Amino acid sequence: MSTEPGAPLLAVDQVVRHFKVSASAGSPGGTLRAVDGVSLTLAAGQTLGIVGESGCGKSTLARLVVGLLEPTAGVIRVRGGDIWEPGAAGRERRRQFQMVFQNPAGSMNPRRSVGASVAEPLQARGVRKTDDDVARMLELVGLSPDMASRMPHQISGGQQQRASIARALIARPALVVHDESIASLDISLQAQILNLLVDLQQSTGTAYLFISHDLAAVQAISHRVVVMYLGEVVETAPAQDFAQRPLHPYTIALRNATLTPDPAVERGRAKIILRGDVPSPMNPPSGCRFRTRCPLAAPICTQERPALRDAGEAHHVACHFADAARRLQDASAAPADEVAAC
Amino acid sequence: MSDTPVLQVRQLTTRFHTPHGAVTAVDGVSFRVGRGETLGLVGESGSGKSVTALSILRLVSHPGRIEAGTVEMNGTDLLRLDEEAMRRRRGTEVGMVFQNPMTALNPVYSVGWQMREALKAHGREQDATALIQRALADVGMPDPVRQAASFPHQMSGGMRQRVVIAMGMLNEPQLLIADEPTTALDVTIQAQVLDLMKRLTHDHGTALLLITHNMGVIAKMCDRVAVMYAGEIVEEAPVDELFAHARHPYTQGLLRSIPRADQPRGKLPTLPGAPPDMGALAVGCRFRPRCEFAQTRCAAHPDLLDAAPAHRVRCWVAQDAAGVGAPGVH
Repeated sequence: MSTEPGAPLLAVDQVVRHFKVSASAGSPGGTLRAVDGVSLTLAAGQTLGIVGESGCGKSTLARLVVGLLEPTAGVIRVRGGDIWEPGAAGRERRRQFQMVFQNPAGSMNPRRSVGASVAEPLQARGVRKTDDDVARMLELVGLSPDMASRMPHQISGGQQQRASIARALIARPALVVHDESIASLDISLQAQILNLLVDLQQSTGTAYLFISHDLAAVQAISHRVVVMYLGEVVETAPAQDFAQRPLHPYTIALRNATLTPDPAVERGRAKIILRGDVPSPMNPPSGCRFRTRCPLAAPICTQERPALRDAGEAHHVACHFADAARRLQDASAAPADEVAAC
Repeated sequence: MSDTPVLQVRQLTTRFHTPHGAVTAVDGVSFRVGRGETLGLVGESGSGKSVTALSILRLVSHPGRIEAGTVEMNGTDLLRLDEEAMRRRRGTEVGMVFQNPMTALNPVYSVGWQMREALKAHGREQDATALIQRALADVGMPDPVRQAASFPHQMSGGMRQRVVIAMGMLNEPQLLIADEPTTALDVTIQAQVLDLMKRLTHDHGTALLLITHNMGVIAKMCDRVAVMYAGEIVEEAPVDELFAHARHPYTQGLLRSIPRADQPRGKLPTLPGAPPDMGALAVGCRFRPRCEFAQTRCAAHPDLLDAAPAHRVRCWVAQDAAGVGAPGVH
């Protein structure tokens, strides 16, 4: 094995994934740049949160990390070893990660019992007697071991998602990728599952790559947060610093648009309304990809792609304006008065 | 705001007769929406909030049936109208916006054509072109003439939802019913669409019944809030009062368990258990199996009573704390 002892559990290095789109009625076809040069690392036992809106490439990144998709360029390493190294070494590395999907009903075989589905990762590794492990795992995720004999449609959505988590953890993977794993649950269940994930991480030492469109949920669970926009990382920081000191105009706008269950906060909030929609990843803007919606866009943003620069405290941001937060506050002060009048 | 409400719902009850037995999705729901007011109806899946909206519009389909209650709009009971009279009121008196714009728009006709149909249905086709363009401009569409000629699939999700809102407002209804209007949208687009709805309803004096599971949307948009649980309203209050002094244990638990963007990493206080199975409800208070304050008397069903001015709550413990309700009654 060519794994290096000091290497992080997961290292994504300048990874690119493009899709060919063929021409059809109303679209000329071309290359869709889903993930375009993303780098990140994740240490064992930690949670890395990835937040972004539709089309930012977060789900493609999830599939790349677990080896369901092969990168167009760049390398994904597990403890220093390339997961696409030809032969058995690469294949073994691709088996070390598990995934939990958004829709628990769709990710369980409707014709197999819950227990049989949960046992699958063990059976794939040649383990024959799995009943005890399944019972122990179901208990760990807060389900009764009797649930093993039920069919997926006989249990609720929240229970199905707990079973999916049990299935992901049963073969003791080093990393579980969560792709919107709480998005389809009711609010009271979301909090239960988030807490369960934190507890399970403490008892099993599993690392999480937690992908979500919900900034508040990502912040509640992550040690470190990455913000993606149109296939690129625009900001990354430790969770605490990220909450206190967002630096990229997109992050600030995203935080501003994330509603807080508090009418006083909502009324007092300075408004940063982004113009228009996310541009197509088939034809991303030149320079900074956020510039078409950015309230601070200047000529340099069209010409030059901003690199991720160090902003101290392990905080990195890709924006030409170091003082974006203050500039945005000044820019939004005027319209806020107008709104207060009505 | 004048005294007669736009909408007054009394004891509305809607049942679904399934092969596994009858399920009462909406059970004796009463509330009012004043002129120009925004009332939020909030709850988790299965709480009955969407069926309440469909019942008001008389769009409940088989095996569902409205079995009791009245739905008065400007004093007329919609449940007693014949189908033709009801059809004429949809759109003119009450407009609607649903969660998924693709199911509200016809994929094979242009947006302008569909809006013209909505005007024609109510005999307003003379100035249709001008009305359509103004409505599209009103919802912030950049080039109304071109947009009217485009088809739904040529637009983004946010743009489609703007079109649906423009259609909902086209015949200037006094009440707009919006069921999870921004749930399918990205948060930055949600912010745009909510701001738009707030501005439009304010400018036209339209009342809004906003149905959502998102407490953040409620906080931003509403004047008053009704919280639903298992087919019933369990608490109702002005928005500031509800968020600052929630009295029902369900509302309190729900508000505490929502992660907030202004809070750092950490565990959340949770509500135990799962939303109820509507086919097998607890006897008495329906929240009892999940409630940390449950007592023996909660085996009797509590009524929705005033615990403070304009603040109704359906909980024995909260009613005792407020000194209302009579022990042992009902």
